Amino acid sequence: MELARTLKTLWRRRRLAAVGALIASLAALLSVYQVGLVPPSLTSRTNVFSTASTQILIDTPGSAFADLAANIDPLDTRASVFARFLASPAAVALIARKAKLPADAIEAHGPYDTNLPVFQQEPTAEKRSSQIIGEGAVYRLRFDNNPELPIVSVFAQAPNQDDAMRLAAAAPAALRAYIDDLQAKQHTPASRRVEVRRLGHATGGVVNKGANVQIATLVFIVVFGAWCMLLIPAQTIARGWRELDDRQLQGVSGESGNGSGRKRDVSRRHPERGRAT
Amino acid sequence: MAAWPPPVGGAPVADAWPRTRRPLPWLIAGFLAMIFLVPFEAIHPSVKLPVSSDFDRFLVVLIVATWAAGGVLGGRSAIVRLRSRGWAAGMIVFVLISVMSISVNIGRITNLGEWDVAQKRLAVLISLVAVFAIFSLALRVAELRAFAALVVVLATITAMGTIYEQKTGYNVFYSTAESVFSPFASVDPAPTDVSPDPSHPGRPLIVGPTRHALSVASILGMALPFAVVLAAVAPSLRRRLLWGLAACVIVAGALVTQRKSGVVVPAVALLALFVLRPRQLLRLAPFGVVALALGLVLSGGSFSSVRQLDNAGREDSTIGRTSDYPAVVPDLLSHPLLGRGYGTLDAARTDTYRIFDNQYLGQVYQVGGLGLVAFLALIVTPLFVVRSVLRSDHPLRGPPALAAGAGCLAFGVAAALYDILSFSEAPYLFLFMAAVCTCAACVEIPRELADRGMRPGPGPVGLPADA
Repeated sequence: MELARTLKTLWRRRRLAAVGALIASLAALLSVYQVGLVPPSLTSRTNVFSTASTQILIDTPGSAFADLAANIDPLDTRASVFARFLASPAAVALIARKAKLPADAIEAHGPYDTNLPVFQQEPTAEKRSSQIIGEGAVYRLRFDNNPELPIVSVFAQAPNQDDAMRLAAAAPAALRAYIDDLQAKQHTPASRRVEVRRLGHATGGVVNKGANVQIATLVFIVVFGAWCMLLIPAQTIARGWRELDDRQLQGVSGESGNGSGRKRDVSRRHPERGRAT
Repeated sequence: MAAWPPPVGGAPVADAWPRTRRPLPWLIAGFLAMIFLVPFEAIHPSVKLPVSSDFDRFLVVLIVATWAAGGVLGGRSAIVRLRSRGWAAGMIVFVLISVMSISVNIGRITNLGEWDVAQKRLAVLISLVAVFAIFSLALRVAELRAFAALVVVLATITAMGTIYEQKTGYNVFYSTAESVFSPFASVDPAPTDVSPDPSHPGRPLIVGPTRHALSVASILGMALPFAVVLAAVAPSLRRRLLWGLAACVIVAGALVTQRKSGVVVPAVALLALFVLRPRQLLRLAPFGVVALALGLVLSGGSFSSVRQLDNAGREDSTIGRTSDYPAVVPDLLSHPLLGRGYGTLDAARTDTYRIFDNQYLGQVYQVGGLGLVAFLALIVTPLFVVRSVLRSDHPLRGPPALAAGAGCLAFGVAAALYDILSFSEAPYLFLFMAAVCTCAACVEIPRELADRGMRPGPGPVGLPADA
């Protein structure tokens, strides 16, 4: 019954409801597109993202994994250090150069130790502050590392699939270049050098294909719903205003009519306290 | 406008649950049974729904479909129910702010890959709204007492199962669910752990039909006022003893979970009852002493277990709780009004998000200051709506209103003790109690009088003159 009453009220004010629908449509459009005036243009917002991933193996020149006698524990430690290094600003700059992307648009984080108690894993205020700063970056990298394996996992996110693949592929290339450069500078013998190998090509795809439609629908519902909710109280206020005017007019006529000088306040004598919706 | 006619003489009893063929009250009863007896969060049906395919969503869809079909096919009801002004205001405002918080932050939400989680949580919120609205519209005053008795019976069964689980380590709810639902759904194993590894800090995990001990403790605490109120208004000593015994079992069930909430939530619910109706409930004081002793016996001396909370797992729990407050500050300062977006707090990503042991803190984080106010309004609205009948002696309205009001208050307190919206049982039960409050405070008038434009006259909001 209440729904029927609300719909009836909206139908009575259908022109204003139509204006609301128009505004809501505009808001929905703006939520998924950027509108340019000069020249007139409509550019899709980056609500849809792609991801790509690859893995980096930290190895020896002759491949420790092909030699059963080789001790791979030192490689595990190096992988853990390299994973942390890759999330540093210096590494991000190298990755950006390799991927031909702006370094300040890339946010890198990880690796995280999942073996710790939850309250130690959860971010502190300081950590959250730095995370919040990086939330706006459209290119994102995450590095994971199992401390017992000499492997670093790379997860990349970008507005399109090509950029995501390029970003994921750039991480091992950047790490290899950095390590090679370091070893060359300190004249590390070839047999004792660290070898950075990429385990296959980066793979990935679009993550949230239908996001734009869902977001536009959500924005339309919110704006139109809010408009309708405002429309009904606005009508109630307008009606109350008119009733007040009527009562004041009645009061004036009553004053002139009975000569007592006291206004008849109908609302006080008959409060509508029990009126329900 | 014609004046409100003299009392309706109590609400019409005919066609009231359980003596009715109307499907909705039966579905509501089934829904309550699901909350108290079925581990629905652990059941994963083979059939998939568009957004979320949890077991409870199917029942919500069935309830909505039945209500819609009743609206289209059913005739006009002989009784018109006028609900108090603003009965759904808290809910509507909270939903609106939740959706706004997502809309405002949509760019960041999609960028951080939080959209999937957010839209699922939003779908859950909308289903909660649907449940509340339909329960509020479908319940009748004459049915409230029967539903109150149903809540007590179900809570007693839950409590007995939970006590048995604590004694034996066997979770009867999960085992039964696996037997019943295995042909068309998979059921997760029970997370019950009565004797945790002594080398690992932690407490026994007694979950009943829920996913977590806190959740079962909350629903039992929220149901306790119904047992106490029914005992208080029972016409005979035998019935009073029966309802009192049920209250004892419920308290014992909450205590065996060995969580602080198992003590705090029932205590708050009882305190609320005594504050609202001191004289009526003080008569139960002698029974209360006996009940306490009986509760302790049933729970196997759980006060000693509660004392153990100070030792086992205390450090982690306390550090986790206290560190939540400074950790929320950066997010609060960066999104003070509408937060980061409703439903974006993904507990699985512990490197980015915290599991707040306080729903209010979680709301500030997700929906900002405005959302927190709306969440508080959501909890307070039923109490505000029902305030005029809380102390009523009307047999059909007063006792259920009092119990449901105390239950809503217990929910509000439980929300300060853990992330209550992460578990479905307590929110669903709260919405049922909110609907009971709305119904208890509504005015029922015959259709022919309503059609003649008769409205309630002076008197408390939405209350017939006899209440």
